[in-house]
Amino acid sequence: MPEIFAAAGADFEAFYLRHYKAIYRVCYAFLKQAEDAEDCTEDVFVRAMQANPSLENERHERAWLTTTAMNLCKDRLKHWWRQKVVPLDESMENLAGSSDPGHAVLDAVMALPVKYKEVVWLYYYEGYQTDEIAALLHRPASTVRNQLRDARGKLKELLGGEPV
Amino acid sequence: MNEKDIRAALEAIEPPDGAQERMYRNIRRKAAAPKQRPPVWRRYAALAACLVLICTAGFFAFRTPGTEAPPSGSDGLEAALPPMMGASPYEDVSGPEAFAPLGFTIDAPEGASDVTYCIAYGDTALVDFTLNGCAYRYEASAAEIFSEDAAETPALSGTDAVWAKAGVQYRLHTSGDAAAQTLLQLAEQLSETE
Repeated sequence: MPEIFAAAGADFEAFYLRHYKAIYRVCYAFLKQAEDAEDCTEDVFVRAMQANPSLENERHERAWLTTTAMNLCKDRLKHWWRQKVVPLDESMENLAGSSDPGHAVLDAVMALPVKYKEVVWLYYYEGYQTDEIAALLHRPASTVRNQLRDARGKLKELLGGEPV
Repeated sequence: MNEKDIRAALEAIEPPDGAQERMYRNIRRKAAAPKQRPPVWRRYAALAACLVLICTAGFFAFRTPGTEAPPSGSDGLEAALPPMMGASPYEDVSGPEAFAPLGFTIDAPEGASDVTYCIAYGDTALVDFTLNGCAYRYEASAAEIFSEDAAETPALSGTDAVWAKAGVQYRLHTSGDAAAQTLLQLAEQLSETE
């Protein structure tokens, strides 16, 4: 049994049940397709089994899984076939028909470029501070703050001027 | 729009029904599957292709016309000729006894060196030799006519000495600088030995 599960004091199934929804959400937000999101989520957990990282607690587990999921999603988005058949960024026209406010916010986040989506996800959903995000993404903290500011601007623009 | 709204919107993403079990099964299956390694040949295929390309290019790049080794055969001439020219009409033989089937025989005079024997077109005997530093060709044929008015006694015909005896014509030719008189004397000597 990999160290990750032994350290957490639980078996793989418990580990999976703790995190699968959050990881699925990351994958879906990036890939925008349920089937791709499922496949990518599976790959993330397979990586966790094979990589056998030493993680101290649940928060570390979540951070490791989230960054792995984001990296796998970015790899898939870079694939030439996906670039050909699925545009990286949803156009604003796709948001025009959204009447539900929550759905509109989700669409707006999913329409963000990948570099903004990463920081928005980690800041708003995972609740990390900009310094922590900088460490996770291996970027300068100032860059993360700038990207977060730009992402807010884009969300505001996408949501018709509503401040974020 | 605040942080709560964004978080709530992101949490609205839910896996489809049955996704939990399906993904779990697939994770177990993927983890249990042996890692597929690319075949060994694929690793070296590109290298092999490059080597073949380099060798082929090198072969054509460094091959200069006229430097090929002469082909095997009689002096390389036979094999070097284009097919349409057919085989050489000259057949090397080992000695004067090989001329017997022609119905006559000739040989180089005593003291000659570098003697070679040959049958041309299946009916003409040829003997090449060197005598006193001068190269000669001695020919005899029952079919070919070297001179219309050849007599039994050798006579000069151009640069050759020609004679005929018992239906066989003989010719002695030199490509060296032997005097006509020397050529004639040698021809007379040869005619007496036939």
